[in-house]
Amino acid sequence: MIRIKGLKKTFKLSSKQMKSNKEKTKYKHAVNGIDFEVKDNEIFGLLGPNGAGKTTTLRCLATLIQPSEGQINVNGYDAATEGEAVRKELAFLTNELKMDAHFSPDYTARFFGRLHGLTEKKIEERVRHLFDVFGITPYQFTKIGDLSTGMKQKLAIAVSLVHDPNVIIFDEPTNGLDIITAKTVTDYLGNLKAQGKTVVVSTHMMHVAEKLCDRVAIIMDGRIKTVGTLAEICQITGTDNLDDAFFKLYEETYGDQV
Amino acid sequence: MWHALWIITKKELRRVFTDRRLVLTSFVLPMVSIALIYSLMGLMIGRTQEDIESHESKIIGSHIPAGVLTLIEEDATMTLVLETDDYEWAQAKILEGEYEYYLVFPENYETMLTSFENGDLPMIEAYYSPKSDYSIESNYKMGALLEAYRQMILAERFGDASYLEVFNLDVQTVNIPDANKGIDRGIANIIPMLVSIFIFAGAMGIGMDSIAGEKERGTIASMLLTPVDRGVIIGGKILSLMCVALISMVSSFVGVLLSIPFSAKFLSVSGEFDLSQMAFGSGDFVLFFVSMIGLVGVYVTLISVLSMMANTVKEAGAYITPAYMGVMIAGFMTMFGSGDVSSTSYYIPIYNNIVNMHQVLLGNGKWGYALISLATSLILTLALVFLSRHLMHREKVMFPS
Repeated sequence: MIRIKGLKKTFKLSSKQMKSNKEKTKYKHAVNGIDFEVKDNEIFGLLGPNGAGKTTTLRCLATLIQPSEGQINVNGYDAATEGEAVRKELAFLTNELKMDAHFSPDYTARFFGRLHGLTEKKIEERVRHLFDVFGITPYQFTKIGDLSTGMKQKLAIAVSLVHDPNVIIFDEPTNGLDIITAKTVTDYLGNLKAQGKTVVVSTHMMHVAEKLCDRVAIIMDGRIKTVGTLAEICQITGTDNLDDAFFKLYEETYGDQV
Repeated sequence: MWHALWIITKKELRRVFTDRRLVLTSFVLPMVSIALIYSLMGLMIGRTQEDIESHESKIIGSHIPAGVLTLIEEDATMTLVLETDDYEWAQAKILEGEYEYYLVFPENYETMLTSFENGDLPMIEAYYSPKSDYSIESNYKMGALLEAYRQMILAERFGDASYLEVFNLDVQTVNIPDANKGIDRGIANIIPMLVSIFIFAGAMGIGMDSIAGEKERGTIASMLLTPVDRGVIIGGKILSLMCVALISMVSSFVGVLLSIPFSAKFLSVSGEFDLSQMAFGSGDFVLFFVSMIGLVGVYVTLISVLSMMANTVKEAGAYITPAYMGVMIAGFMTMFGSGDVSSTSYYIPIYNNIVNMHQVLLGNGKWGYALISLATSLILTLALVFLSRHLMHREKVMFPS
């Protein structure tokens, strides 16, 4: 269960960043008052264009960065004061996180398992299970640097899940994956939901959100524009599908500058 | 916490020691290249010296007396090529390097010798070029030859030249093992500087890759998602880096030792160095090690802080290079001077440990000063560890974009 209340994140920009981002003020409000809840046994989608605040929200949720204001609660733990407990509860996957190309998948998964405090027996069990699910077993002793992009992505997912977390946060999980690998990933997210886990997925691919998510929040300009099931969003926006709903909200927020 | 620290340290060490490229560039190459370069330098310097010493000096002269002529003929390393009164020509030839020495006696030298009681001493002129090693060597040799000639004349005048002597002076070097006082001064001057530079250089490459490199590649962020405190993550990196720096320093030092048979020519004051002649007790080794550990702590944490502040390995290199220069300057500072050190020097981090090592090698190591140096290094190391931890928690540092 995730509860986010009044989340704000403001970055102080350097003059160089102001120039490159064409910002007029020193402060950028990446997230500007976000509230949402994600229940157990649910896949929740965060939809939004680039720069809308999705990644910043997820980074705050994963305790990588601290919110400027607001509260984040993960399975009863406060992200601001109980960061270690929160990190034990969750898996976070984003394209920015990479694994050392020098090590093998086997060593990497075991290393992260140990850092999460798992016993060697539990690590063995989890590594075997995840490597079998994602088809990594034949490459378990190959250097990560020698693996294909798809295999690296699958390994990143497996490693992030090695400690069997209750909350799973994936930022663009199918980005750059071929259709078969993408299906493996989305199917596994379905499995996780069936196990009663809480899953948050950020994406800008509407069909992924439509197919995968129980509920969706559309985030633009650091604020949640709407949140609900697919049917609820269509009803609120007066559209027939998520694509149209998204573009309608986009025009309302940014004008017609697509 | 300790378990996580150990896991991260092990991972970092595994990263280094299972990477053949890193092992080669951090441990093997420094040892081999230092051994080769120092040996080559020693060989070249030795050969140059031998060449200069064995070179037959080509002397030109004017009115050379028979006694000097005989001495020159008896000396296999000197030849009187010709006699001339043309000063300008002779000097030009010495400058060109065709001849090495021009010795001019007065035309009426023999007469002046016999009428010495008038106090009218003959003036002998000599010319050599300080630009030419052969010419400088000729000057030394001719100086010794003329001294022998002077003794001959005095013996002729007074029957026994020893009438003119008051005492004989017998100067001998003290054998170090008997005195139980350190090692050759030349080696003692250079070793602390080399140890200091080797520790820094060893930690620098791997430190930049382990911290700035991991930031650049995005691999450190994966560790930030584990329930391990960020201070423990950087602590593990620092600990492993300390091991790497020590091993790298030992490897480079082995390179120096391997080169000693050849490099002693320029490293040692006496031109020779025998390890068995080292008068070192176990206490001296411990003192030396204590100073070294102080340096390792400061250097590794300094490199860690500077690497943390950088977003790329290239940027880290730009931050660390000035620190490296500072380390080199601190090393050079102990190489020169009389060896006397003011007690305040022992409160200056980095410099104090290098001074301590120097004093230990000279046989003057003192526990009090070593402990003061260690304490100041420890305080600085801890301050830098806390700064590293602080930087690990700073969003602008960890996620600058």
